Amino acid sequence: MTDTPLFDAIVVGSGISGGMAAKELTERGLKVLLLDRGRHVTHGEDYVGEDRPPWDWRFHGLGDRQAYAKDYPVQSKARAFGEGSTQFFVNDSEHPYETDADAPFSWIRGYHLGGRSLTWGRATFRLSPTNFNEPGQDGHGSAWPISYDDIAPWYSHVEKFIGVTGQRDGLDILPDGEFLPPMPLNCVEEHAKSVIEAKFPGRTLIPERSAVLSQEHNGRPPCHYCGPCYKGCSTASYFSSNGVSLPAAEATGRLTTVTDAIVAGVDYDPATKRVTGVRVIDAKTKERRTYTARTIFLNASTIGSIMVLLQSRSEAFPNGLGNNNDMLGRYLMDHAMGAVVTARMPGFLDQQPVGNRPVGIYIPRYENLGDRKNPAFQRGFGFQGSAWRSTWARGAEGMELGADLKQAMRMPGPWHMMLVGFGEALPRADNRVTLSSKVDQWGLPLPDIRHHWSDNEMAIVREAAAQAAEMLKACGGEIVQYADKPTPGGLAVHEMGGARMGSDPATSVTNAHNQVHGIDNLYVTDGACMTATGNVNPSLTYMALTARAVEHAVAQLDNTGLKAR
Amino acid sequence: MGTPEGQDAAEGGTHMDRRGLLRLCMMAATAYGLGAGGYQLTQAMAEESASALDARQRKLVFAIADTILPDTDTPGAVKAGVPDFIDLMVSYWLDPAERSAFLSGLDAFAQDTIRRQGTSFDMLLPAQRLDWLKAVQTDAWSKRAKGVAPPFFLWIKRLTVFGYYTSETGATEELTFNLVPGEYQPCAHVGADHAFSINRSGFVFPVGNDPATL
Repeated sequence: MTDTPLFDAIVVGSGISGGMAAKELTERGLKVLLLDRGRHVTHGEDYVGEDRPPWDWRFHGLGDRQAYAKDYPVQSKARAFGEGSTQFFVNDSEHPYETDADAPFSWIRGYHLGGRSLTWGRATFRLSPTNFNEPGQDGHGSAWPISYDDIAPWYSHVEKFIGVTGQRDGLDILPDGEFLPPMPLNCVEEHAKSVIEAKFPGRTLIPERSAVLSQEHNGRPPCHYCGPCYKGCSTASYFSSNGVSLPAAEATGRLTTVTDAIVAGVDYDPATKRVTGVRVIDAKTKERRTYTARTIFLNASTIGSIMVLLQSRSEAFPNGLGNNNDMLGRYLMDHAMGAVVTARMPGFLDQQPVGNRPVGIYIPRYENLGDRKNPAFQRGFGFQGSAWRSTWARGAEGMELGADLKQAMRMPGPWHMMLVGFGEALPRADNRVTLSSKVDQWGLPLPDIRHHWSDNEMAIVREAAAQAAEMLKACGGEIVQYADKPTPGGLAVHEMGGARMGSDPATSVTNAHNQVHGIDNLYVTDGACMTATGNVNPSLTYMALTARAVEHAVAQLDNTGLKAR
Repeated sequence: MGTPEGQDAAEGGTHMDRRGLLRLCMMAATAYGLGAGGYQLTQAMAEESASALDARQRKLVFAIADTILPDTDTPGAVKAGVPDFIDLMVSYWLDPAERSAFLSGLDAFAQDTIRRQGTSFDMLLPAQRLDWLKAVQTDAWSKRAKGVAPPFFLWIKRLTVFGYYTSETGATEELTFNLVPGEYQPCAHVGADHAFSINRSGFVFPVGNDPATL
């Protein structure tokens, strides 16, 4: 401890939680180094797919299918992947991992500044008191070390910064936040809302809450409704690290960003029981160097942060940093996705939406709440969805040909409405990430990712599909698409767990403040820290936990006099 | 409205030829400093000279596309460059089994036409072509309902429709182009011909017997 550390804090990873860590730490006066393993992405300038019409692309937006099959077999399953967004996904051939052939985990990734904050779905929901309480009460999984009240002010803090469109609905299962005006439902969604709420007591259909601006916010202009957010948004009308949190961190003058820096491990000093810095490999030159700091935040994404810890082996921690209890890497989870039901909806043919609303509708969880018990499964699911008029694409399927076909396609087609279920997944010790004996081109071990759905997730997906169909039929719809089997783990792109929070150091990796048990200056605040998945999209929770942990880390540095300035 | 020049158009060599499209992409890629897509474009440049279709097959694709979406008060599939797009898709986008099924289906269609109509497809009058395609479609749709492998006609209709409505001509002259609407109205009144050419969800090109996007 004779050398003065170079930085007050190092943040590993610049995605949705790392960007927030950098912003919060720098705004609280710390000198911060932000590392990302991928290339630099300049906000705006590097959004090469933005606002380009389909004929600008070789395959009109369908992408090079043969090249995708060869180099993007996993990434091309992501909803946001396409000819205008390929650059925001890793080349699978260059970044392999191990998984089960019969139950492949689909690891969707973007290695570049901003990470998946550029391609995320932007749904922004709070976990509810129920979500925080259930794991400690029903015996499925491990108790959260915090309650809803601990995180509520941090939800507000983050929402005010990022900008969230939403409606105050007054629901216990989906607490209200700090909202900009909602983006309204269209006429078929309004119809569905009135039918579902009347015929199915306890269910509600609301506008989706989303980190997209419905009005000017903190100097950022509102959405211009072009639609494909995942190609990048140079007006920063949806929240991304690149467009919002990193510029805020840079404005403090205290941020240093280094890209193409792959973290090979965190250095631990057994004498002080503190981490002292990170070892980095330059992605291009393979040159190795070490950066030192007083505190370290891991925000490398769920599996990325697990891998950094597993690779940080020393005499004190031969199985990975903070892993003397064999908990690290276990309890990997993803939301149970796969219930997809679409119905053709009658009527409303004199109306259509104008503009491509970047949000949908949401039906919050209603199962296993209060008096309503569903014996088929534990916990519950929510639905995302939307209604739209079908496009010219239907022209390939119909009977029209020639001039009749052109004439028919000049009118929008019938309305359709889709509901997609997202179910809570229960933690299982065997769903885990370990180090493979194989190494990548930088000599670092590949992740070995094993993930199987349990009967509970199977039942949740099956029930969600059946109930979605029941609701759409009640609204007058005719079912035209019905899927009720879970999609491969990872495809919800909500992977969580592996360094779960808990009060007991024997059964968890991180504590109530996201510190790795026993290592006061090492924080994990991305999806890896999640004790349970709840059933709502998790990014807002990662950001709120990050902001909360930063306050704790800064107070700790102040109290111990370790902070340099 | 683009008016292709006689013979040139008949060879399918107007606005949207593949070489020109690739050049445009390369220029754009250079201008944007495109990283990840660069390799694909380089590969595309190397492959562009090879077409899986011979001259006779190209001529037939041209005539079929022209019948599925003809010129009316707006330009049709040919003037929109769709035959070149179909060539590109068949040559590079379909996998080898699909490509071979498409080409053998195309040849079988040519033979059926001669057998049933007494002459080649391109020698038929426009109204005769349309009637014959309607008969072929009825047969194809019934085979598909029985779960038989996706018939050739399904492929070429999909490719024609997709190529046309995602072309500049189809997207901007035939339908209402609204790349950056700047506003959102949840339910506006629908005017006389007010279908938009692009929408939020985009279009996933169906493969095999899957139904097209709704």
